[in-house]
Amino acid sequence: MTNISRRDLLKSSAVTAAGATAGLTGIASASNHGKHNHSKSKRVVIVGGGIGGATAAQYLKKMDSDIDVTLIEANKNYHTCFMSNEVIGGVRPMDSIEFNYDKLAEKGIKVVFGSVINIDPDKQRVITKDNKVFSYDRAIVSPGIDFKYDEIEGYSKEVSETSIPHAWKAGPQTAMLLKQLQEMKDGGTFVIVTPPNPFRCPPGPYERASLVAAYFKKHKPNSKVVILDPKEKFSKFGLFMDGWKRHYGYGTDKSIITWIGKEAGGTVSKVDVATKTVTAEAGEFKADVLNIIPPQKAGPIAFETDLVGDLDWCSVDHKTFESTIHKNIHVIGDASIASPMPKSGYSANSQAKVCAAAIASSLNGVPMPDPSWVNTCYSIIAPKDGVSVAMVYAYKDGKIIKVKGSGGLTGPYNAEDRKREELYAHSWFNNITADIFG
Amino acid sequence: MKQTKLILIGSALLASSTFINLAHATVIDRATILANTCAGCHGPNGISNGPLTPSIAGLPKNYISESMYDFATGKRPSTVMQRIAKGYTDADIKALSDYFSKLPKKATEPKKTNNHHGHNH
Ligand SMILES: Cc1cc2nc3c(=O)[nH]c(=O)nc-3n(C[C@H](O)[C@H](O)[C@H](O)COP(=O)(O)OP(=O)(O)OC[C@H]3O[C@@H](n4cnc5c(N)ncnc54)[C@H](O)[C@@H]3O)c2cc1C
Ligand code: HEC
Repeated sequence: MTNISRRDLLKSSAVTAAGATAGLTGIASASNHGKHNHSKSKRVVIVGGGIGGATAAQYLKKMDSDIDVTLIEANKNYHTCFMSNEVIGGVRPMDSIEFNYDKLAEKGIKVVFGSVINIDPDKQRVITKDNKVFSYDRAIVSPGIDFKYDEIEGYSKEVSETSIPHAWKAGPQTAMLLKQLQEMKDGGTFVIVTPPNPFRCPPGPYERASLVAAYFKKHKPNSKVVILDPKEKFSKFGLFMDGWKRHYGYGTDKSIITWIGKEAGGTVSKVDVATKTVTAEAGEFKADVLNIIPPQKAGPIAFETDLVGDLDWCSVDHKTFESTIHKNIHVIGDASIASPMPKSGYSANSQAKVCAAAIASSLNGVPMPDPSWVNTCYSIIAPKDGVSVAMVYAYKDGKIIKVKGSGGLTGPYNAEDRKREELYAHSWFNNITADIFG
Repeated sequence: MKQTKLILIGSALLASSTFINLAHATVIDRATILANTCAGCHGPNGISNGPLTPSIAGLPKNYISESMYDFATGKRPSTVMQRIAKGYTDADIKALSDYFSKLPKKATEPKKTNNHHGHNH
């Protein structure tokens, strides 16, 4: 008895007060988060400064400037994957997709460059390769994707860095594919090996095929694009097929693009690196330039921290994005399982804001209103021919759901609208990157 | 809506006197949560960086709500807004229109005094 100090008594009466109003407000749950709740400690450590992580950092600061936000990112510069297909198609300079963290630092976000090698969910701390330790009240993990290189025999990280790029993370990979395409002689064949679902940016491989075909049409008219696909259908299928017919002679013997789906034997099992020849069910395909986009899984730190369980991706609460495996660690972006939302930049950006709202609310002991999300993916089929897929999402019965009646695809071809959608795609790029890195 | 918010703040204060900074903390309301989803296309704070998507900050409240309804029905033609506008309830549209109408037209624009009917560039 004598051990109970006056301070402890005060503390417990505060908890009682919370309990009394909790029925209305849900505050009681906020007092469960341990000792930090009783100090004014509000430390959030974010692992990965890509689309999800950088957005979360910005919006946490915006929602509550008292939150101590640390963003840990492996690279000093970030290259967006979105619009990297325009870079590969030779119509956009590389430096236009390069961003840095100066603006985030100016806003009071502690930007740390380093590689996180461990997250300790019990001690609530994050450790980097150079042995820096960061304690957190909440962690956000947005590490993006990793590749299952070994599902294609002969392919590896090393091969991707020396001769056969995936270019599914932008930067040096993008530059490498661009260079190979520019150096390819006219009459050559560009082969794209696409991944099975789920993967980052479902329409991305087909936009890439389109923009390389546009480059060939203009600069190397005797060259071909071959897509080897383990799927029978893909995102915006009808829109791409229609666009390929109009621009690239698809379906005729003069077609620049050939698509070989699952049933036609498009599934690839093997690559001979020296000759850039892949083995698909349909036979061998020799490429002059080869792009292998391997099957995917969550970034390595998600496995290191066991945020995945038996899966390849991280299961999360759909309102807060808190891991269903480890408390106080939230996972957003491509690494999370947020279906029906696709793995896209717009999704990662939208999820980051909801996650920031959940954390800011919780750290302040106030409830969070119902969340809302949007996704839109623009694709450019050819210059002046942009299309999009959009969806509004709501939260219902513990799940993210598509709002009935909303969303869908660009309608049938209309030259004026398509021209506008290309410009809207570029506006989207300018605006979302300002939202994330500005 | 407003009233609930006040109650929440009040009880939170009551509950924990150790939340010294609570008075400064933003209570995230539903309007902000909704509006945050528009930023990817219309720009942070409703200010677009172009080349074509319009800014929506500081538009008249009625104009915004009317646009949302007209986009949804197709009365006003659009490329993507029809698909977006159909995703919101009347209450959502009211909250969004209110939110964006109150934002300054351009964050960096110097405050103009005695500016009648603004034919300035
Ligand atoms: C070709 C292509 C085109 C695309 N086009 C579009 C599009 O038009 N629209 C769209 O919405 N989306 C598009 N996407 C998808 C979009 O790029 C991704 O969905 C988005 O980047 C996901 O964000 P994220 O935060 O999950 O991961 P990322 O943006 O990849 O960020 C992860 C970050 O974490 C860092 N990191 C990882 N592990 C660690 C660690 N252990 N320590 C420190 N840092 C770490 C990485 O360096 C990286 O910066 C496209 C993708 C591709 C490949
Ligand atoms: C996918 C991108 C995208 C998203 C997301 C989006 N908009 Fe739009 N918005 C546009 C485009 C593009 C236009 C021009 C009309 C068109 O072609 O769709 C527009 C036009 C508008 C207009 C008319 C502006 C004017 O000057 O007449 C309003 C109002 C508007 N949007 C509000 C919103 C609100 C509110 C949200 C969030 C709930 C939102 N938009 C989300 C792309 C978007």
